[in-house]
Amino acid sequence: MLAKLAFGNMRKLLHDYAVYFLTLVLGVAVFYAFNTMSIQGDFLRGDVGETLSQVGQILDGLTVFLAVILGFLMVYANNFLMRRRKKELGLYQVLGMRTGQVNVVLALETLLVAAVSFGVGIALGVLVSQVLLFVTARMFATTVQHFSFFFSTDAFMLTLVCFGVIFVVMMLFNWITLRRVRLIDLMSSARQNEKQFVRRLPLSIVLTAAGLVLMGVAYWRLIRDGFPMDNSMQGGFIITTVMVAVGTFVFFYGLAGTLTALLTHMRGFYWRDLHMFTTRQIASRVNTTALSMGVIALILFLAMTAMTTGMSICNTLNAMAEKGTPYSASISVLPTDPVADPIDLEAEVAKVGVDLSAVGSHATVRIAVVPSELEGDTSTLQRISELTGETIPKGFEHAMVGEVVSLSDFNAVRALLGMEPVSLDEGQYLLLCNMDQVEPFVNGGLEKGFSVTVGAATLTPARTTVIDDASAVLQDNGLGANPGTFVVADDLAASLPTYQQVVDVMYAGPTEEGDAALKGLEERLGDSLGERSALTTVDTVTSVLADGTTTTGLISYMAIYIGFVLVIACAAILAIQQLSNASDSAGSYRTLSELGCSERLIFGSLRAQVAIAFVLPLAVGLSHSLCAISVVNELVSAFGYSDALDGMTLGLVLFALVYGGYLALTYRMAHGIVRSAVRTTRRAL
Amino acid sequence: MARHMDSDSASMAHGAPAPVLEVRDVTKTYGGHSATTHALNGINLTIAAGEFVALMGPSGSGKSTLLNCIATIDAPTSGTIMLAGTNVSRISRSRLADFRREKLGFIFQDSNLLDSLTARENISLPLTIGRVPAAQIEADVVAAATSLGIEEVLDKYPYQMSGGQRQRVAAARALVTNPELVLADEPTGALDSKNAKLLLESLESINQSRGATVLMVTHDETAASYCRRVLFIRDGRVFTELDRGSDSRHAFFERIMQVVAVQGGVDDAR
Repeated sequence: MLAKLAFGNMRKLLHDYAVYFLTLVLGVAVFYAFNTMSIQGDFLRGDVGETLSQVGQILDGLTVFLAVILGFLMVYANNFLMRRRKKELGLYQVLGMRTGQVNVVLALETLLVAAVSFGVGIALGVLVSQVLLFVTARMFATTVQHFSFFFSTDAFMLTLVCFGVIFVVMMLFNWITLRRVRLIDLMSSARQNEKQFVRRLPLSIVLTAAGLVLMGVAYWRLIRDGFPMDNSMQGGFIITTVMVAVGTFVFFYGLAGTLTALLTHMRGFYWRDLHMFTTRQIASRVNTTALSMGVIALILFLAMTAMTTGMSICNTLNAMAEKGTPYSASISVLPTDPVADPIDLEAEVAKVGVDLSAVGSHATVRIAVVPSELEGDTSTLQRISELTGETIPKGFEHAMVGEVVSLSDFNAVRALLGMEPVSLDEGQYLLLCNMDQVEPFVNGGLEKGFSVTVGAATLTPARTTVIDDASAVLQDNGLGANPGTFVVADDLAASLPTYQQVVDVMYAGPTEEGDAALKGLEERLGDSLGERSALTTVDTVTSVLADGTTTTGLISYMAIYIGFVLVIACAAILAIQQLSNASDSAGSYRTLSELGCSERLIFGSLRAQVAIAFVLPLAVGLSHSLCAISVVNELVSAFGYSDALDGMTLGLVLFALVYGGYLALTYRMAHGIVRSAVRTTRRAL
Repeated sequence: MARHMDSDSASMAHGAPAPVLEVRDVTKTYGGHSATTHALNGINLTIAAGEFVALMGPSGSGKSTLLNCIATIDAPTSGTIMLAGTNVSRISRSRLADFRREKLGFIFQDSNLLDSLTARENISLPLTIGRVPAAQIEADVVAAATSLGIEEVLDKYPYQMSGGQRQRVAAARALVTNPELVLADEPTGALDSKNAKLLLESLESINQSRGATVLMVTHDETAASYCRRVLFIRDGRVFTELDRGSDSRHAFFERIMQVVAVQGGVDDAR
């Protein structure tokens, strides 16, 4: 009998709150699918497989974090539904059911909902993960080698544990709710809900204004200070974060009253059609749900920022890796003691049995450092700043601009890249710099004849602009960023110790052959040099780009994973709130219809209510994240790339699809509830 | 009261006044072939402008069905209902809402005020829906509220009012558009006797001062005694009616009680 009751209740829940169910299913499916990452490697090339198992481990940790957030939101949604069912639960007890039996009914219900959503979710997740395998393959620029339908026990278990815990917590909350309330409250809860809680007008306006001011100041602080670069800025950043969070809540607490007051004074608008009703409905909901609106706005902010910046960082990293690899390969060594024990890299390479001439053409670059930059005096950028009066671009305060290469070495590199050689007159220098953010600042210095002292000579700029073409990248690396390198006459460069020696190689034959010839060179060279070298590296285009895709792949997955879970959790709560509002107000809609209100107006009002409930927290969250994104973008483009926005657009589109989908679905369902209320004859009449 | 009689006799002098409501041979059946219920069984009635009529009958007599049909919320199986010269069954679905708003006013047993709106806003609803200019709305609402003695609660919310005040706000909402016919469905059903008396006196006074035509469904003899005419309905048709004439309310109440007693006796005899 109790089971039958529970089963009936579950069916009703699935029908009335299909959105809730949908979210559980999506949550389970996404959890499962993303955690199959480790197993996906089995179907792909060996090295990608290794990478994926690392990615998988990170995603496992992320899953636990997301499970906590999703769990929190689901428990909230569940409590919300429970509050609405108080009367029904009271009725069971009035009819003589013992509290224990009601508990059994509730537990059975939760179990049934859990079982059904888990089953459907896993089924969906298994399907999604098959598709995800091909997406992964594409992302890591490889192909699926031997596809067969797969199922990950690990992912299944992890999902089971996460959702198991969530459902148990839900059950506990249900029991607590039931234990805490008295029967009389249960039965009269519907009547209590009718009470409208309206804040005083002046207080509302003060709250809204205070919220706006707090948010504005927080924005200003973030834009001024940027993200914390070191510990000393941590405190300020925490204050900014607290300000924006408090501002958001305070804003929502005051909003209902302010909005109503404002619209009431627009008489022509307020006293027409159902504007008055719509305003009041929204105001009363915002009032009672100010807290959840604030939480949702902040979580949406987090989700949007995660998705968009994740995408943009990926784009930037990809672009950087491309720009940072003008050579087929770069061999680099940092001598432990450059003065007493310099290293001739080309000779060392030959010593371990690699004939570079057979691999392709090559050029050696010996990199020294301007002494003043090393001795902790005023840095080059600071001195440029003093000369021009401009402030150093954000993020470059501690950047080192002081590497020195000789004109011959530089021209050799240019020849390797097929570029024209450059020349220098006596007492002159050239500056290499390819970071968009700092270029104009440095050029300003060059125009004013910024002078630099190398050894005994004081040099002036040969050109008023920096060299920012491919030759500004002196060796293959994942970043391709060079804030500034001086090119000076050979004799001056020779007077300084060589801190780093690089051999850049352009393969004569195909990439595979070249890579094969250099395979194992890094280890052999390291073993051969031993203590003489502080760091020995061999980077090929292939290895740099592979490292890049690992990072970008990981970031993309995390961004989509975090963003998706957070968005569905928020959208689900909004949907449940809106649907219960619609059914709570069914009587009002019927009255409106009986008063001669056309369905067009009624559904128009409903549409406005649902839309505003979704858009309001979104607008606040979007505003926060636009501010954050602009700062992130500035930071990302500090590496020399300002096309990061492309990736953000993709993230935003994805976000809009999911959120908009929930909005549309919620409206359809609310529409159904109201239509049946309006079209059903009042029995009592 | 005398003035009302005068106006009645004055209109009589010009012949019968145009009826606001005319129900002709209306039937309403529910259910399928095997178990048909005749809720209305060829009922006829006419209500003239400015009348205050009560519709009495036991549960299941068909009075709610009749009211639903008149209110255009339900449609009769056969027969015609003419409201202010319009055959309501001929009105298209799209025009129905406008028709209800312009010609009818409703007072329900539970006042059905919208919780989130103040009394003033609740009363103004039919006007805002009908896109009456804001200034006009303000004046109309205050006029309707004054005639029902609820000016002081205009800016309160439903939960801040007594049951009687809520019901009078609902009455004001029904009257504010000056409808052809006000339909009241057990308006005193949820009120204590003191508040019921206040509401009925209000309805009586607006019937006289504003000339509003009111059709009130009730099973309470005291409530019915405030009306000018009482229709007794049973088994889906009007079985008798009483005219108050020049009787005092108390005398009219006694006459109604007699009919109810006879009706009860008939039921007992069966």
